[in-house]
Parts: sequence; structure tokens; C-alpha cells
Amino acid sequence: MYTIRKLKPERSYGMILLPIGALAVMAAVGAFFGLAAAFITGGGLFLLYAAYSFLTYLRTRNPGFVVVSLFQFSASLMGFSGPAGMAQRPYPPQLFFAACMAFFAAWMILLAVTKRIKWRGREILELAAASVEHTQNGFTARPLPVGRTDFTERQILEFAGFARRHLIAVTYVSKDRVVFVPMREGREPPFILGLKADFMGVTWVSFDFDGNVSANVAQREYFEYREALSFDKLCASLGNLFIEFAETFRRGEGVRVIDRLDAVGYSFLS
Amino acid sequence: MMDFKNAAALGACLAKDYAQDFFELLVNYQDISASEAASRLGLHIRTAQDYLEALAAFGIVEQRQVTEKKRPYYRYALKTRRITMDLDLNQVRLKRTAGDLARKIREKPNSGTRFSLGRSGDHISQVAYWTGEGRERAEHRVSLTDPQGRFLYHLPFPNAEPLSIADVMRKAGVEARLAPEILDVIEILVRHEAIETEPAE
Repeated sequence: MYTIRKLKPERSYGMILLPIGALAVMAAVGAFFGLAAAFITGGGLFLLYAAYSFLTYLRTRNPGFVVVSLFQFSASLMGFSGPAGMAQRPYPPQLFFAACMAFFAAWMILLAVTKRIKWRGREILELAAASVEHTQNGFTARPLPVGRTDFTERQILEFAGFARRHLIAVTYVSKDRVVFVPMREGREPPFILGLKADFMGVTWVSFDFDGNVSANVAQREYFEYREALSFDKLCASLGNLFIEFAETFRRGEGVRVIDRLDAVGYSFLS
Repeated sequence: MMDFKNAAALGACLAKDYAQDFFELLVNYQDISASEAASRLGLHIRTAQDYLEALAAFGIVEQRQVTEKKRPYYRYALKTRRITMDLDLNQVRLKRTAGDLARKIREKPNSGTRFSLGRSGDHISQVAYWTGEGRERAEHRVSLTDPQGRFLYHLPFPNAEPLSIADVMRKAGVEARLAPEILDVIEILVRHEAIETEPAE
């Protein structure tokens, strides 16, 4: 079946470009300072990647990022053991690190292809726009009060944990509400690194503990749609989508939320 | 009863640094000229003259022309020992017509107005708009009361179906008695083209 997308096409090659970038840096260092320096540099870069992936795990509790982090850590150890491996062949620790790296790489690719480590922002925006008609540009920076729900504070917090774990949204928890920021692939680093302390200028859905739900679509995301959509309906649709997800999760059918996101059909690179 | 402009002028008169000293003179002297008051209080004669004329305009002192050595001048005597200010604040209340709350409104597209969200996320705390051109261009910020903030939070989006002011107030949970402050902020935003209105059907 051919689905007409409302979002402009976009590919996120970060997952592929990061290791390629590290290899390019290693090649440059190798050309100027020799092979041993190149291995050490590569080890350092992958150690940084591993730390970042582990931080992502701590922020989201998505276990897939532990696998990614372990792959990157194995690659880092491969790099650091490079000079010793050049001096002594075969160097058993390096063989062990290589085996670990291959194992975790295979696992990571499996997770990537099955979208277990994919941020679902594009799917969310696509689903939100599905029922919204084209109109003149009606953008405003104001959020839309979507409606009221009967979720308790605990249910909202549990749903926030689910949304984080399945990379549906980054969450901001305050004493009176939880704000869900749907995250698109490649846009998450400022949130993961704690450089974005608030959710100004981004798309979000807020559930307050009195039951009020509000939604805001940022200008940047609004312009990602191919055509100008009815803005109030888009915000309402986004808010209602999250309410629907929260209700599905409350019924113990969180897996259906993931199925619905998968059904949008975006590839793991988008 | 005074109008607001006169009350403000009288208030300004009484607020002068030298007002109390002036009234001490007027109470204790049978009458006094501007030059006598000026020399007694260490003021410029023009200042004393203006002050006495202002009091005369309010009917607090009586102005009498006298002639000595052919040159006429004024002497001032206190007419009353009690000053009362009666100001009905209803005269500055916004004039509302029955149709005001029935007017349909929504945000105007591309108005350039910035609505800042309050900390709790359920109201707008501030509205900022720009006026002027070139070097004269300036940003104006209006801090909103809680009912105004809740009202603007529920304002229909640009191109959305406009709603009557009364309907938006109802959605926002703003009581009808607070309509004057809602209408006030609407007037500001209509004037600065952040809100568009349609007459009631």
C-alpha cells in the first residue's frame, strides 16, 4: 500500500556518520602521527560515543542504548589496544575485544533495524497530521488547550516512563505537570546532554496533574509539513494522539502504541 | 464631584514639597501676596504666584486685587479650612455595551505578537508586540493578570473558527464580573493587530 506522507522527506544518517567520522579522524591522525596515534584517537572517540550512549540510557532507560554503549566501548578498547596489537601478533585481549565488538555490533544493528533505538518524533508528527486538512498558514506560538482527562498523577508519570523508554518523547517532569517533547532522530543530543533545560521553541504535549492537556507545535516542525495544515486541528490532533497513547498504555496495551508507530512505515534511518 | 483630571491636578498641587508650608501661611495669615509667601518660604515669586493661582482655580483661596503706589497686585485669603476630594471611579470604568461580549474574536495570523507562556503552563503571562518603524521601532510588553492570561490561553488560533468573547471566557473559566479587564486587554491587542474581531451575528 502506498501512503501519502505529510512530512517532507528526511534522513538521519547520524548512526552511520558517527563511526565513519571517527574513522576519517583516525585516518587523518594516522597520516600525520602514525598508526599507533590513530588507534588511540579512535579509542578516545569511541569512548566518548560510549559515554554519550550510556547517558542516553540513563535519561531514557531504553536498554537498547546499553547495547550501543557496549559496542562503542568494545570499539574503544579495540582502539586503545591497537598499539599493543601491532607489537604482538596475535594479541589475545584485542581478539577478545574484536569478538565483543562484532557481537554487540550485530545486536545493535538488529535493534536499529527493528526501530528499538529510533526516536519516534517523525512518526508522531505524521500520525498527528493524518486527519488534518490543508488550509492557510494559521501558525501561532501559543499552545492549544486540548481537553481534560481523568489520569492520576501516578498514571501520567508511568506513561512518561513508557514514552521515554520507547523514545516516543523526552519528558520534563515538574511538580504540577509532565511535558512530553516528541523527539526526531538526530535532534536529541541537546536534551540528552542537558543543554536544553526547557522546552521553549519545540513541539510538546503537556499533561497537568489536574487532568488538563495542552499541545504546542513549534514553527520548525510545522514547516516540516509539505503543505500548510490547519494549525489548531494539528495541535488538537497531536494532543489527542498522546491522550490516546496514554489510555492505551493505561489499559496495559503499550505494545499497541509501538505497533501503531511502526505501522507509519518510516525506515530506521528517518 | 470632581472629574479625574481635576482630581489629579489637585492631588499634584497638594503633593508639592512646599504645600504644607504654604497652607500654614494661608491658615495663619489673614491674607498674603505671592511675593510675601515666596520670601517667607524661600521660593521663586513665579512659583508662589502659580501655586496661589492654582489654589484659586480650585476655589480654595480667594483672589483679591489691591493697589498700592499705583501698581495693582493680588492678595490671597483662604476661603475654606477643609478640602474634600470626591471622585467617582465609575467614570473611568470601561464603557461596555451589550454586544461587547458577543463579539467574535481570534488571533490574527502573522501578527508578530509574542505570547509568553506562564510557568504553570496553563496561562499566558505576558504579551509582547512591536510598534514604530526603523530606529523608532520598540517592543512593548504587557504583563497580564491571571484571568487575562487564562483568557488569552484559550483564544482561538488564527484561521480557527472565531468564538465570542463570552464563550472564550467560559472556556477559560473566567467569571463574567471580570469582563472589564478582559475587554481592556482585548482592546490593546485589537489596536496592535494581534486579535481580529467580527461583530456579533
